Amino acid sequence: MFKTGDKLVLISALVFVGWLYGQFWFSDGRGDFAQITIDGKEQQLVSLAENKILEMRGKTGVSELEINDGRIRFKHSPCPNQICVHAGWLEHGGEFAACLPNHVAVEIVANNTLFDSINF
Amino acid sequence: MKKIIGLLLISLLLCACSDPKQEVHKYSFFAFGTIIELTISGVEKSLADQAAGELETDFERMHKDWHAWNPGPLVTINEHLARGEAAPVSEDLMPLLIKAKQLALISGGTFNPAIGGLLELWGYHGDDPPTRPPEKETIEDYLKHIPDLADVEISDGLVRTDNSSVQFDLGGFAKGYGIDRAIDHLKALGIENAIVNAGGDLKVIGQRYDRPWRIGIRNPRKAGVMASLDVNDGESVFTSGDYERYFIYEGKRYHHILDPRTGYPASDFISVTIITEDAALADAAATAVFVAGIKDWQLVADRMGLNKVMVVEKNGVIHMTPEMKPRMQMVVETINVQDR
Repeated sequence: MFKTGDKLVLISALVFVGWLYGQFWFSDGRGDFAQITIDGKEQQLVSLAENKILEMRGKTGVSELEINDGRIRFKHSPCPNQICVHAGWLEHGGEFAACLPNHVAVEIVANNTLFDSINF
Repeated sequence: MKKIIGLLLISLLLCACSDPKQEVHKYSFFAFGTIIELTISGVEKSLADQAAGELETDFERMHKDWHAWNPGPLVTINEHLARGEAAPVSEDLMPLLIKAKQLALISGGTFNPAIGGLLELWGYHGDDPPTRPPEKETIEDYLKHIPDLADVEISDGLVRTDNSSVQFDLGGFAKGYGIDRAIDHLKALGIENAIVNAGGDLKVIGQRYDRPWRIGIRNPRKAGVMASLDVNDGESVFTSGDYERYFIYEGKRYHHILDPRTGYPASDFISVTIITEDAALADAAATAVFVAGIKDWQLVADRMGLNKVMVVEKNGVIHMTPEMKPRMQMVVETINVQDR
């Protein structure tokens, strides 16, 4: 009834639908990107796919951001309280940390964002 | 072939025509001594941009007017009170001080907006964190004249008291009051769906275009969130935690939520979360319930008219009121949740 080509088309369509199903229903909201805001104005989107260290110059100095295994954190920051560093790794959509004295903020952006905002 | 290309072009055009009402606009800016995050849904981007700009100006002005130690209207009031004089209060500050007094009285003093002197002794009136606690005797001396809002009279454009140690510090409450104002401003602009988050505390109106606004509550001890929560139209969610501002001295952790009864940081809880509509009440109540501790937290919550309260003890045990429990979707399984 079906030719080989038809079968191939059907199978690839089914695999594609299955993949879409998984993407939309079982995605854990892990982010692909982080949005970095400096002084509330300058914004940049960085991919979390590649492990690296970013140096962001803020109001009082340089905040060092580390990207590792799809996550990002403040590794060092020139602030007295170190609240940003203590916030630890961010990986899910909507997760957020900021160095207030240095005016540097980081938020995870995911297509399927788990949270619209974070309370702390 | 031409037909196929034509169809592809048409489908591309269709993709570009997404409904602007189904977009979420996000803004973040540094104001009010913290980071403000604004999330807006259901309006064109131009209106959302305008709202973000106006709110930034609002928050900057409130920060300047209500600051507890940088020169400004509140500092001028405190200078008068320290000299034992009646202090004139501007029309803008009057409702703020009246509400602060009301909340202090119903909290039974666990929320005390007049302990600016104690916060200063601890070194919290500055941009750098303290390095060591004050001497025991210094705190004991301060407690002999502990400010009580019942002794403060606010009327006829004046605030007066016989206790010269009354020094207003609205840190435990101004953020909530400011968020209420910001939400009112958004409504006046015709925005019906938004979240205003100031340094982790927030209030929502409406919902996202397709579902209720959903927020995560950060784990007080680890990275990530401990619970997820759908927030209803008009609700505020406030958390006070010992992890926000603190310093370590000789291996001991000292945080900024001071118990006016002892003069030291309140020691039973690591975080307290409140859901209620009035953001100013939620802000003061998160402090009051935190200070009340394991023995009195339910009593203080009742006095302040709160029924959605979650407290986390130092050992990780979580207590929730019956109305709070169905709202929280816990995402940490290791924490022991107990009924009220």
